Amino acid sequence: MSRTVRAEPGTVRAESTAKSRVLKDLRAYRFWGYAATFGALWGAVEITAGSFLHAIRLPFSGVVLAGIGAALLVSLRTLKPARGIVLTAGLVCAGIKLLSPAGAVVGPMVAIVVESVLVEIALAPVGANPVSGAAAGTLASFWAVAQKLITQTLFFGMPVIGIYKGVLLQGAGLLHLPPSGGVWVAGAFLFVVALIGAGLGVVGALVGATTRRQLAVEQP
Amino acid sequence: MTFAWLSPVVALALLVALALLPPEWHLPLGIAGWALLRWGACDVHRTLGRPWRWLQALALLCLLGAIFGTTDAHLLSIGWSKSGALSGVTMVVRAFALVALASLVSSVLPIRRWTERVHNPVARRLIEVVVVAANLVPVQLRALSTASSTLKERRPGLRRLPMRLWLLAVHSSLQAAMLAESVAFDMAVAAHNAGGNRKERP
Repeated sequence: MSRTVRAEPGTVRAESTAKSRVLKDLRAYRFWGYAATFGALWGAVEITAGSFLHAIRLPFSGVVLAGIGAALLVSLRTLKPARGIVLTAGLVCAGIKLLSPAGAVVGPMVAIVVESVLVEIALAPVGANPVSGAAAGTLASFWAVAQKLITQTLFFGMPVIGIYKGVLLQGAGLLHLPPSGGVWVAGAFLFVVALIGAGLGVVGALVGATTRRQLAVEQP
Repeated sequence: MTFAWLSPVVALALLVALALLPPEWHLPLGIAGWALLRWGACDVHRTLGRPWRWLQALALLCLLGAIFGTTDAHLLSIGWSKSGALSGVTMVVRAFALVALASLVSSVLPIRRWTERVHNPVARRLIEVVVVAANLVPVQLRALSTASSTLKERRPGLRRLPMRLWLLAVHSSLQAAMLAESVAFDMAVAAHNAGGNRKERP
């Protein structure tokens, strides 16, 4: 003899209300979920690519790392176009750095937070696209150079500026430029930095767009 | 005196000595300060960076100072700047003292205790998300490493490196997005359950 089990109408209504509340909450929690995973990914990239670039002593390694971070944030903003998500991911990555047992924490934390603020500002007017991505990457890589200069001046003192001036003059001499040509050498250096940052920013926007297309295919 | 307190004493003594003593004394003082921290406060010393890196900075700054400073000495009829080289030494010893001071300050700040006192809901949520993200880092690291070795096997060679990097970037982004969905779902369910439990409690 078969028995049919019927659910109470009240229970079904309560279950469906709970389900709809969880789904409503899910939309709000997606913001935090994306910030958490991309913040963690940035942390993982800092550990792997950061160690690798420093180990092989690649020139402009700080600039490349800042550009990779900016690319990751641009890709995040393409996938989840919400205001503040880039800054939140930066704060999450800085928090991860704070919890890490590594010795030098303050410098990388400041770099991560300032870079995420700059990327957030660059992406705020029109969202993430290759042009704003390039601007974001350029700003982040400029900050990497500026922070290095600020930190060195703070720790080593003002003579550092004199040394850099001497290096620029030497560069101008090597290129057979007049003594005022140091400005051109500095300009060329900053142009290379901007090019690296902008290139990585554009790559970030393209990665984000490709990922969004892939997600749309997988979750129609 | 505890080992932790040795660090600011050495750092402050070095900074005062740098201001009062002539530049010739700065290198021996720096070496003495480093040795005191190396054998007196091993726990603090670990956060000051590798000795080799300090030596490299010393050599580089002395060389740059000697080349770009005002010529005031001659070696094998080549003019160089003794005062420039000495100012390089001063810069490195000053940086070492400041790093020792900064590392102590950052190590004694009770950050974990401060985070426990935060009551703002957004800041609280951010702290929770940081803890979740810190647990996700090893997962992301493993995923990155697996994807990287798989791509290396399937597309070997230096010429395919740009393509490999592109695929790795797209794969990492895709994986992070999918992980974000599951993290969001877990957080929503946990918040819902926590709310339910709070209601059931008298």
